Amino acid sequence: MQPVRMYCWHFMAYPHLPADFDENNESGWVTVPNKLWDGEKSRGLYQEYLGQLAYADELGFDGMVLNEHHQNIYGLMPSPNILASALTQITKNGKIVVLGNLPPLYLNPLRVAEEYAMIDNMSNGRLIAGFAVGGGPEAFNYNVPSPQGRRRLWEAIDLIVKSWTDDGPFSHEGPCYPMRYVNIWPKPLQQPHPDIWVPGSRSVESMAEVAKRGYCYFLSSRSHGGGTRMAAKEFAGVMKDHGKTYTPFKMGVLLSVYVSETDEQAKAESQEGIFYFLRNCLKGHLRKEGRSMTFGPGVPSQSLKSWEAFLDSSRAAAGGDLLGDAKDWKDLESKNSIMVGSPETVRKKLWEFVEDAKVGNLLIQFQFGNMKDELARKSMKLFAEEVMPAMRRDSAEHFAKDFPMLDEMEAAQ
Amino acid sequence: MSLRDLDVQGRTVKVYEAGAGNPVLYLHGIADMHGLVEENCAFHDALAAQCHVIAPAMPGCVGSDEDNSLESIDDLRFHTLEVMDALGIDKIDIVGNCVGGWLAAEIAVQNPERVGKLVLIGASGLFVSGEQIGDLFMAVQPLNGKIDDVRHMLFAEGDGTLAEEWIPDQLTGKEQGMLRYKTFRCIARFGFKPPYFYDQKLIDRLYRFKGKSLVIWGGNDSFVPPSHATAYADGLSAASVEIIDGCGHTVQLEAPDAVAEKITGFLS
Repeated sequence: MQPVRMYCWHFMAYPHLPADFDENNESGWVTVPNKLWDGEKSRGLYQEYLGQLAYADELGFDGMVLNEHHQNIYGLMPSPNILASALTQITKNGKIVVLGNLPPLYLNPLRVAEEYAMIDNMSNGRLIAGFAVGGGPEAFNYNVPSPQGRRRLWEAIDLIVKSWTDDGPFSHEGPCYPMRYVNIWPKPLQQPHPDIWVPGSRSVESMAEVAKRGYCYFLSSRSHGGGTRMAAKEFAGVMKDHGKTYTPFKMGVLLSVYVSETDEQAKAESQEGIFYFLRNCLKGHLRKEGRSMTFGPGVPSQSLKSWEAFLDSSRAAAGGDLLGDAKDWKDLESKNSIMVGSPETVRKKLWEFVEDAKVGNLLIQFQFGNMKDELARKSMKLFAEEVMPAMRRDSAEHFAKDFPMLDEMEAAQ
Repeated sequence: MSLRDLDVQGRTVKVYEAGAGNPVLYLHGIADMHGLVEENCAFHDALAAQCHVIAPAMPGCVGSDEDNSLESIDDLRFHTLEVMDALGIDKIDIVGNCVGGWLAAEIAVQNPERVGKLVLIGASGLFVSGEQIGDLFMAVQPLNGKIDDVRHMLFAEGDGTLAEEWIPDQLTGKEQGMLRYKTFRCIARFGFKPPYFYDQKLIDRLYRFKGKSLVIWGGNDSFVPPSHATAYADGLSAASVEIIDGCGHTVQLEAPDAVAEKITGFLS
């Protein structure tokens, strides 16, 4: 019996923006002036955020999630590996999910292979290794021509995995990363290698690349309507086409949650942090207001086929209204993104989601924008004590019924 | 006028041909035929009234095949030499507009034996200190749902009807959306990373082209500053410059007859 896995994802936003930030800045990304960084106020910020992730480990979450972004106020994690290495020393049980490193930005993927192998050893085999292509802001920051990104990503991933699994030294022919001597020390602790997760935004091309290698597909979307269920079905189909078996643990999603004693209290406590996050951190990323940098002709990473599908889609027709455009709670609820309420409300919403989408890895954001430490911790604790146990119990039965092969796979291990 | 498929080493390249007389290879730009629109414009018609215009579409633009191995201006130059081979062109006069002007300059410098006369219109390609080529990629990303920035970068009157017609905020249809995406995806392959739409070494190599050149620029070009016109003219062995006052980067759309007249006069 395998229950749904619940991870705590921290984005590590910059929490000290002035109140008039939105009026005076077109983006929280790339061009957001770094004179807004307040060194004194930020003293201890990383310790606070890392402390919340260590707390998640104590509370019994399945793992802690980090990711990589550059020159922005959404996530102060230009190097997630530095934070992951800190987590190896202050956490004991949970997986350390780095989702992920962005190989197209670096000159040499061996550095990623080496650092991940170090983190795996330092954590006693707890690393989940994520790899992503990077979004529009990263293209602008690191001068990565978007059309070449995916080709570089997959060559890098294959080279990194080979460096972990094949004995060196061997040479790699390229074309993007030719190397004479691939021979990494240390090798990762987990055999044959740490689990690999790769995000995608529902393009069939990306799904196929993930599926044929048997990796876990992470749907990079902050909103979850029927699209998530469809994506899980599509991915299951693509896996089958490649001779692999879909289970709920071959897919992950990002969810956001705030739990308090009552629905009213949950809204009152989280309002400031959540709307700071939507208005400021998503500006330039998932907001129509401001400079949209994530997606579009200026950062053309989608294939022509995927772009055509986008132009045909309802999102294009809707004129691009995005999560960060939510003005109030009612707007926000219509976007099926952030679950806010009492333990019972959140459990119900989360269960409806799991039952419908049948996705087994829930990567959950608890801290939003400038949310205070005590509120983030309170929400995590209530979730761990009053939502998580029921979710584990109900999902294990549900998955066992729908995916009988899970038991066989468990027995085989 | 005709638009046909040309086989270039197994890749399909769309080629537009019109007019009769002196053959001219036209290398297109962004706000141009094969770029943001598929069809020929008044400017191309005016050229074709005097000469035989041959205009291949860059890889990925309109119906030309994408080329995933295209990573630099040098790759594009080599591709274009192959297009010339497939067309049976040994030596020809070249007119290059915008990024097509950069491409034309690279061919003239590295393969001078293939080029008769050279015409550059608002050509990117040079590094001129303190005179940066604009970030078109950032400009085309909507600000509050609008892309005024790209209109102002490419047109003298960014709020005018011509700019609005070429690059509207709301797509007129899927076709327009695809043309825009294809054009930017093509130019991102060789223009996104540093050097941004330029080749640092090109300026010191321009002298290698000994043929006659004409450099045409919009006096108010906000994408490639007019100082680049002077830099091209100073570097090339035998160049003259025509600055068209009041025009922007899309000088060939804003003053089609004047630009075509200067070119046909120069080529004849």
